[in-house]
Amino acid sequence: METKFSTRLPVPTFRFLGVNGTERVLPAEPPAPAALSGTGIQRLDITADAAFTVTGGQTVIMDIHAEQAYLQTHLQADANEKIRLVQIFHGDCVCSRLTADLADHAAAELVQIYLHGTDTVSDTEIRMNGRKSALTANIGYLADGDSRLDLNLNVIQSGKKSVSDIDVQGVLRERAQKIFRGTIDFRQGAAGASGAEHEDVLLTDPEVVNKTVPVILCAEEDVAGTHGATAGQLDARVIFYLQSRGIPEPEIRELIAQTKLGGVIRQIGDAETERAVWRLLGREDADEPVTEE
Amino acid sequence: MKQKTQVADIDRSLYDFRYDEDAADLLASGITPEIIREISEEKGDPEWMRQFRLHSLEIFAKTEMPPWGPPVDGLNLDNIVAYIRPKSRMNTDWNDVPENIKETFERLGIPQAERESLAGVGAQYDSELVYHNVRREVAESGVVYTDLESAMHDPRFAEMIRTHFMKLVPPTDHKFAALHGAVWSGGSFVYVPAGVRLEIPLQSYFRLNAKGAGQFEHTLIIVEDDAYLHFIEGCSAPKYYEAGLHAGCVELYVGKRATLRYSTIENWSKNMYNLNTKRAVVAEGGRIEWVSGSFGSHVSYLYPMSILNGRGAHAEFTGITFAGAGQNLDTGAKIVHNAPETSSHIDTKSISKSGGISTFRSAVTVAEQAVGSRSSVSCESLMLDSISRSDTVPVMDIRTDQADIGHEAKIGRISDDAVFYLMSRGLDEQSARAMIVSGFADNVSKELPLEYAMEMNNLIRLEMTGSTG
Amino acid sequence: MELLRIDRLTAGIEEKELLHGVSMTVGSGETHVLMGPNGAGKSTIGLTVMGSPEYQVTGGRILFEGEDITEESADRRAKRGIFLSFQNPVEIPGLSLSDFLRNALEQISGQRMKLWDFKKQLRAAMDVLQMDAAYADRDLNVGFSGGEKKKAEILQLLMLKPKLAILDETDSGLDVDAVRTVSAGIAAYREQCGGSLLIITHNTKILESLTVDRTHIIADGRITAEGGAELIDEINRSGFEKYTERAI
Repeated sequence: METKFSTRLPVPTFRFLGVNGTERVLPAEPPAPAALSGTGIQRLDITADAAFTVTGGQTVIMDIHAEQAYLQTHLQADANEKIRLVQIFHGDCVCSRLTADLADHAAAELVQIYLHGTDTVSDTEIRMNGRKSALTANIGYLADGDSRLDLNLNVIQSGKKSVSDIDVQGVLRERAQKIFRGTIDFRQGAAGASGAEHEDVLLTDPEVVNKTVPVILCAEEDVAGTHGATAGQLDARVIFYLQSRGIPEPEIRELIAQTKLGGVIRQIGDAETERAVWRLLGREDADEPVTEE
Repeated sequence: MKQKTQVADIDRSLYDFRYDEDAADLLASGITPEIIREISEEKGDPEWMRQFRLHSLEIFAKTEMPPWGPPVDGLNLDNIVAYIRPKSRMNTDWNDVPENIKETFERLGIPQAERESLAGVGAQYDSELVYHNVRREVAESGVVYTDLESAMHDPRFAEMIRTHFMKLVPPTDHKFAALHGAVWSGGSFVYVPAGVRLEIPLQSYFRLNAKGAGQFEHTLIIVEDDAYLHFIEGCSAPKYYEAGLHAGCVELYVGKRATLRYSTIENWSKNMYNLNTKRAVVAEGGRIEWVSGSFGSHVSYLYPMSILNGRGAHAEFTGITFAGAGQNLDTGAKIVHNAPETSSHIDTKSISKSGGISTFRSAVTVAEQAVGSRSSVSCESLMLDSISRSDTVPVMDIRTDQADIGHEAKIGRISDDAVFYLMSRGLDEQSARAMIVSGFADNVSKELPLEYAMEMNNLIRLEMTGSTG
Repeated sequence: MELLRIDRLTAGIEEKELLHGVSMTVGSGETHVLMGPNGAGKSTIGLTVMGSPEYQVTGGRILFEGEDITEESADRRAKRGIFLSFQNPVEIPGLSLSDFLRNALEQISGQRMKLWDFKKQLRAAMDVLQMDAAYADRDLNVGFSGGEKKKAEILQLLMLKPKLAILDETDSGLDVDAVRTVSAGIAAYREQCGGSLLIITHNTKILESLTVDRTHIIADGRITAEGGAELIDEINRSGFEKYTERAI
């Protein structure tokens, strides 16, 4: 049975911009969620529709490389629990919905990396209901060819003294199109809460389309929220400096593109996965030993 | 204490008074093609304008309300009288202005405000321009400042108006642009010839009076190549129990290397729906500078748009919005980078208090051909209590790699340390907070002529200390 | 043998001409010093020889090993063996010093380099400069102090082994110990590759351990005096005043 998958900006805006939401048709109903029960690092290879519930204390690394898939993930962090989720997207047509509930003193660490996907739609809603709940999100993307990347991140902070920190680093090349909607929503009662979000996008080719929607919603006086976004080409001074060390311009662009994602990749915290991601980025030396053979 | 004295100087009732209008002048409520024909006939429109009005009404009937933004359910269009013809016709001499109208202006202090620094006053009473005075030296420089209706009948400007009127803001733009196209009445026409730099600002003062009346004034400004103009628009309205509507339209044409600065301090009464559309198109090397303060109205939708069509064109938007009790003010700016090496800068502050809602909404678009363009957006919001609301909804749409785009937003509260510091120097808490908020608004006040900056600071102090909050 | 020849070079930024017909030559293995008051055009010479796109050459030529390189991009010049130490090197977050250097070395040599070999070389060069090994993994110039940035520039000099090194105010803003370390780095470069040096400087501390072959004085975009090492002593005694008027 076909079902609709849609994402929406929490508050709609001017229609001519085409940023208010996205819709896709999924060929089948999503499966019932399976609760993950293991401990330690769990690596999941996702090639078809799947649904999971991740609970406190777990670290889950998802490698999503299906031709077509719908992935549904729920994080349930109860009081004082911590969850770590790493999602590497490099499939073709992937729709993902991630939800999270964070209780008092609960923490979620989220790493999402999007590479080369044809049509990726990712919807993330983090509900920070708990007092002093914390979210760290490191998101990186490299979209090239005719890639379309549609990201919607909604962080709802209703817990007192909740803290969110979201860093997004991206590269758009060739004819890639990307939209990133990032919302921090401070609800009434979230006294002492703080939230920061930053997105940096490097644009390397004239046909890219970059849309950025950094929203802050606020219904509480005692909060501190910041949002920053930059988009643009490589700094001419950086090009000259690296050129003067013998690196030609095309290589500089490649190097800086990889560099952009390097910071996010380092956040994965699992050497095996980090090497796999470098391989996906075309780094030949990803598997090279660092000691004498 | 000095602070308090200044606050007491401002009497809210100054902005909240009205006189009975002559009921015979009110055309039947509700907007039908018959009414449009009547308006058109009354004004002696040329045929093209009559057709334009009727066509706009058709579009109005077909167009839906926008699905975003603050609710406008309180607005009953049938109850809004589109057009009220005032007793008076155009006056060039203050002595000929009818007594009750004059009294209104005098209470608003317009003649006093007309100082050396101000080139002229075009004030709109109800729907028509009733008082108009452009200093001789301004006229001698070749600058034309008149009401749009007269200009439309002046053979020197008729063609110019036909080719520019609602070409930037077509009636298809949105529902209230269509309404405006159908029922527009009054407003200003300014023409600054090539190379003329008017160093003193032109000022216009709009005012609503009739109960239930809408105001649909149209401002059309053409600044030719290498010219300079500063135009100041001010609004305030008496208070009513019935919802009022303001759906004005401002169209600005800025020539090559020309600069137009358009300043507004808007203080509609707190029951008004302010659904205003402002737009500028800028040619090669030209500049548009918007300075905008939004204090009044019940609901506002206001996003001045700058279309940068010529190489190296520049847009600057500096704004402040203060939303108090019962207010939902949705304001911001739109910038369209359409040509190479264009640049823009948006700097806004918003303040929410006593249950007020303020939303900053923006759109910066950079087209494929706009290579080498730069844009920076900075918006800062201040929450004064936890029954208010402040939202920031910016969008950037970039379609070339050769652009540098930056956005910064910040939300927060008045720092306790700053309040404590000022209190330790002898200020009471309320005054300390008022002073900090005034400082927060200095991005706009430092861009305004002195007397306007003072008026704005008085408005802020009034909002901070004079109301129930 | 002649390595670098600057031939009647005029260059500037946008409309403003900063060099008004500068000529000089640097031979293989020689050490030259370029001195002059602030704003004379010293850094402009270094940046123009390196091929900075900020500066436009409006006349004259730059020859390296007899070939005209005036129109070449900076990376081509680097491959030929020209190196410039920057006064204000850019910071590149996310790119580690060691990843950057390995990439540059592979580009210049056109060969893949074993990670182990690279690390060994890097460690040796860092030892010369008394740099903490941890710097290799830090992002390029990010959060480096002024002195650390200068050392990182000299580290690149030691690793890339150019034929000509132009050192632009490498000694400015350094304390005595740091000047000694940087000097040791320059000495190591001379010893290991025998390359030529063009040292742009205000002061002469850094020159103490070097044998200077030739000194060029520049003032207001023109070479006003040339001579041997003795010219340095004269400048130290009586300053630049007498050279600001006279053009040769």
